[in-house]
Amino acid sequence: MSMTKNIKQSSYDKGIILFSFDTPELEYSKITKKCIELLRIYCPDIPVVVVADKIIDSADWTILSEEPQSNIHNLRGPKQWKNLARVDAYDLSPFDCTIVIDSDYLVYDNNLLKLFESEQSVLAHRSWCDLNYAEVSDMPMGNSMLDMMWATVLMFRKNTEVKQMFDHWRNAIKNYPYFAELFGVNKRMVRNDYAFTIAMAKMQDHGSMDHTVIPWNIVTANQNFEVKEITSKNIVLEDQHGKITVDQSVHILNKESLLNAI
Amino acid sequence: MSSKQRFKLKRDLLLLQQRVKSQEVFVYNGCMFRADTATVAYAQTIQDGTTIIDTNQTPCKIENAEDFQRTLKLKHNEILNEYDKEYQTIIVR
Repeated sequence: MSMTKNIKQSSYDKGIILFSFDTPELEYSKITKKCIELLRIYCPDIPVVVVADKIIDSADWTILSEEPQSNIHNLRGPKQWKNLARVDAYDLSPFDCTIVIDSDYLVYDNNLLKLFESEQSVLAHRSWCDLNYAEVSDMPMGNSMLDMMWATVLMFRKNTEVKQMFDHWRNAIKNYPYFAELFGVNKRMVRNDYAFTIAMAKMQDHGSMDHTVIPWNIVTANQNFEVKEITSKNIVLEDQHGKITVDQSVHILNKESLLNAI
Repeated sequence: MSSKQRFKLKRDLLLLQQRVKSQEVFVYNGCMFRADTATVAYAQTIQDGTTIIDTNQTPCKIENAEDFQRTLKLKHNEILNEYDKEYQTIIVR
């Protein structure tokens, strides 16, 4: 692992970290660059660090990392997916307070800054707004009573408890077939959201996680959406119901379409 | 109005509500609060030194009640004005 570029020491207290590993099917680095471009507009002065297999020039700092354990994304056919490095965010982050975001989470507002101001140790989304059905809901994890916590946007502060949570997360990935059987989720596709939820549930002794919830919903455009246009002010999406212009932060699940539009 | 138009209207309004829901959250003394009608009304009952509970069930001591009320009202009005403006744009489309 090597590191490039330096960022100001004064910025070390907080920052954003992204993970970016290209696969034969998808050039994630291109999506990451777009994500950084928007972060510079809506979260100015916040350093952005990328953990990647190649240098991302627009980041303040690239942490070159070996390829993470391979995973299979099996929506719309099996594809290679290198999403399992995220669990190393605690060890890799140079910040006291870090926000980890998916590179397909496009930021169109300054809400992330509120997470830095909060004194909570961990914050993540639980409720999601599904643009395709125009509904807001919590997503149960498999056949369990646990509501899934989204790992898409995750704020954490470095302390013993959070370190322990990341250890539980790593353990959940390592023993994923066991936990998948236990919670009734797909065994073949390791989903960070599930592993993170399991880790959080363990930390709370399967009690309430209300205090770790970001108090607004994660707006999500699912696989049915095609990305028509991306500007610095909004993103235009289209599904079977027609076009919609989104001018707030949004999680785009159709990565192929997102890549085509960039 | 066709069902497609009705759905589009519903979705545009939902999206606007999501924006309001996220923007009405503000941080005060490291705790997160929602600048909604309930909090605005509740804030009128607090005094200097009162402890209140934030959106994450964390207790927060408000040293200066007037400052908290002012911040809250300002945020609430700002959001409502924006909501009104956007709402009018959506319904006349």
